[in-house]
Amino acid sequence: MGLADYKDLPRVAFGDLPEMNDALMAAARRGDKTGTCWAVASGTLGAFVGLRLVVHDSKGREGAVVEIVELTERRFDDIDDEWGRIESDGDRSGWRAVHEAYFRRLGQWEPNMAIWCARFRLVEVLDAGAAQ
Amino acid sequence: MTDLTTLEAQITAEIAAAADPASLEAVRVAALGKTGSVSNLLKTLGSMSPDERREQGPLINGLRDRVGALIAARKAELDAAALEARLAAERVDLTLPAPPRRKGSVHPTMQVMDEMVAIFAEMGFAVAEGPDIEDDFHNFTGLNFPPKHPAREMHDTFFFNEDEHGERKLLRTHTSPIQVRVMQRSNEKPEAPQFAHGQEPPIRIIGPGRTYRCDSDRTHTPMFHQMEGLVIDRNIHMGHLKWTLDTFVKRFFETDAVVTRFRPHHFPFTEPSAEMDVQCDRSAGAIKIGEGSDWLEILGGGMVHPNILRTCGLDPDEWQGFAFGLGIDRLGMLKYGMPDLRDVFGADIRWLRHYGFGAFNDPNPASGLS
Repeated sequence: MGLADYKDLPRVAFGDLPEMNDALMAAARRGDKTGTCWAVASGTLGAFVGLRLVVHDSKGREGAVVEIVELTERRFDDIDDEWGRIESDGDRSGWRAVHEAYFRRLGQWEPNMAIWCARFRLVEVLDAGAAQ
Repeated sequence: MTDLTTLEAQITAEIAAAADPASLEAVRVAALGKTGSVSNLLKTLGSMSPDERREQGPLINGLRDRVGALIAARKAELDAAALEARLAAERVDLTLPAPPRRKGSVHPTMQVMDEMVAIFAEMGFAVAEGPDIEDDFHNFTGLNFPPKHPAREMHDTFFFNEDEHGERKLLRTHTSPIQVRVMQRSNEKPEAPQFAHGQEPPIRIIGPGRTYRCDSDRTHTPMFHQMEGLVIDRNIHMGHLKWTLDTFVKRFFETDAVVTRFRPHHFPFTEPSAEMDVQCDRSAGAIKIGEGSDWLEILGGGMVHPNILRTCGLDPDEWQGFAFGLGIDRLGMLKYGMPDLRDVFGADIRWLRHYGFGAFNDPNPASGLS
């Protein structure tokens, strides 16, 4: 399948900074990143198990299609080493450092905040993101 | 024998010719029904001699059994054919692509409001709310609009009819009444639990909500959205206001290149008062923030007038503060390039599809994936 087959899917970028967009999309394309999260304060964003998302980089180039396979609500402090690896942040401490800074930049940070954790599978690597 | 053979051939032909379950049932009744041809033959067995019965019995019973079996077999054929026909008629083509799902979108005003709330929340502001239907005191008098003062005329107010006490309620013309509700210490409970009521300073609140004025053109609608901001503390000055608004504008327009200026102005509820302009470029027929040498007014504010502090029971020699008001829709139009405010509330699905936001936006103060 190609990009045209996914034209109706939501488009997302991982992270809020260009370098994060690019690095995290590359990790998703390699299969190293198989999870993402966001603040419960933002709502569910319409996410559900089975929802497919087109991932793009900082320049808007689509590089992957992923499908949510698990959706759980967790507390910031409950995140473990496994989820740190799933999000390609190494381990728990790596994840905490990256995500506290991330949520602070978005103005959403609060101690032990509630977050939605979405595990996904890589459905397809798209050519449009191959240039990075 | 000859008769039985002829009868069997005839019934067999009729069974084979039955094209549907009803025809087959008619054949069955004609042969095996109470007065059917085979049943009538069976009835003759009783009047036969034992020798005749021994000879004819197996023949007639055999005929009955064969006819029954033929009918059952034909019925199975017809049932299978009917099922095939139904399956063909009601077939679901699983290879057909599903029609695209119609997705709703986040209204630009709500998106912009969420972004603004998130930015101010990061600066320590809490959200306060007030009612859309206000009284004269909170909308005007408490905000230093004396009765009969011409400044009231600037607000094209929607008034309700007088109630039994001679009071005329109104649709609030701005979100500034929330200021009064937050500052004024009163024993009266608010009309609804979500509405702000008096709190002790220091105060740092924003008050987003709907406002109403009798006005309609390209940049005005009878209902629009404002966001009030209020800070009350000791030693607050215009510098705090300017930093707060500068920081907000840079975060909101997502560029540090925004240049702002304060221009003296008059509002009854602030002294001194100012309007804030942002530098922009209008040369290409569109407004670009952070470029060019033109100026565009985007909000108003100033230091809270001492009369308001006194009205609310605060000593202006001890407490000072600043207040500001932002047009949420107007800022949204500037940020997202919406040319006509009336479209924002037109509920045109095509417009909403174009300007609306998906739930999964790129990370911004209101949402985003890590």
